[in-house]
Amino acid sequence: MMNMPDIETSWRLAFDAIERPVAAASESWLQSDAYMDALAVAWRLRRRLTHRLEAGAAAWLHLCGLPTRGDVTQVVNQLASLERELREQRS
Amino acid sequence: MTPSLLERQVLRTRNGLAQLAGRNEPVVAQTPRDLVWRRDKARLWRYRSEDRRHRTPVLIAHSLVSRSYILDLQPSNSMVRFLTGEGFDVFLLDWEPAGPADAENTLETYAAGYIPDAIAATCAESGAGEVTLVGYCFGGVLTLLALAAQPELPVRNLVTLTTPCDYGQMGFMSKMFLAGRLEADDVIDDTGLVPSAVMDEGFQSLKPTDQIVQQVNLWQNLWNDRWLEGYLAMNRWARDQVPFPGAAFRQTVNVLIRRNALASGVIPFGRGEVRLKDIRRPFLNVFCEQDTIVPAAASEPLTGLVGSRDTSELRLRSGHVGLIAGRQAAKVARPAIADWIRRHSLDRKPRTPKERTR
Repeated sequence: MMNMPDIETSWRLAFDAIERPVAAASESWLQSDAYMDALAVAWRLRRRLTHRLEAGAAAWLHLCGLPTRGDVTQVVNQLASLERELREQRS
Repeated sequence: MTPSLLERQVLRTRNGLAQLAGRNEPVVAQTPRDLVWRRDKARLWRYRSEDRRHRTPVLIAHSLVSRSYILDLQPSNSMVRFLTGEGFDVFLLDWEPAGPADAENTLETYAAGYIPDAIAATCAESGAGEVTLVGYCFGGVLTLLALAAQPELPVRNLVTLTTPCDYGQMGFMSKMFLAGRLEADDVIDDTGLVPSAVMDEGFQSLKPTDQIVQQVNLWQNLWNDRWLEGYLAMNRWARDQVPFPGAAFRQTVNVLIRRNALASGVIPFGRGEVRLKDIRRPFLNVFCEQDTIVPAAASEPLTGLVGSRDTSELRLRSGHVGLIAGRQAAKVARPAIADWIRRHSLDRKPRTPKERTR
């Protein structure tokens, strides 16, 4: 009869037996040109879509007189530029 | 003694509930330290050795892509604590997470600005004439550039820990930019930074099944308080990514990845270029056979590219993080690195500035 600690060892062995070949296959697929090309296209597409959505939302928010994420980013960048100037003067 | 299955289930339940309630937050970076210098986001910490036996302090320059507490994860798992125990005064140069004001920081900002200044501050603070400079991961790239650009810096020895050199061997993250699949600007946000989430996604995709394996490991060992403490600390660090300055990232893509400049030994730098052959300090190159982030093949060529007559290599059977934290680090890596530094820190007559440039 299987004792208790053996149950834990067995399920882990079973998991490893499945996971190892899956990991090896997925890691090798990850290094393939096809995957990387697809990922790059998906990445650019996601970025473009996000920008379009933000632009659409920004137009509505501006109509209501509300600030958008882009406006906040602009202020953040202006402050960053100011901080850089201060750093230059300090050094 | 290992508890019975029933006892384990009880302990798992207790620890699992504590985890869900957020009461298992790991405490990291506990070694006492003093902030001795800072400029912008650069900080220099001093870890004093209670038994300082070596005059030359060790200055560790941390990477730009992660948090520095990996070097002092837990009292029983700490690179800096080990080195202070070996009689070295340790200084750690790390960076607060980059913000929009750092977006225009270039590799030169670090290698020709912060690092030389931190070396000077280390010498002033420790009263030593020279330092042993250690660069971890991308911090190694910055130290190489710093020393190649200014060979006269008061650096006695240079140690690079799992530092990328041949970006053609870097695998997934490098290949995404190598063939022009992605441009650097595709991952830089509107504030000019590569967001930490992008860095995290990049690292996570190196091992797609890792998240599942981690959860299974957690379930299997959830009953073990000691294991859990180490796991939580390491897991916190692994997901605790920081943003990368956009300008430095553009250089990384265009110069280090696409031109593979480090592997050629000649790197465009500022308005000119620097040569790794100009680095003539005793040099130790440490890299790891199981490293999936910086594979051994990407680090190995460094040894032959620097101009030092005294070069050594330490090839370890561990992964990227296992080099500085974990069992392998405690058993092999830390003692071997400390031993090399100790042998290269023996007292001798300090060199004149003219001798340093030779």
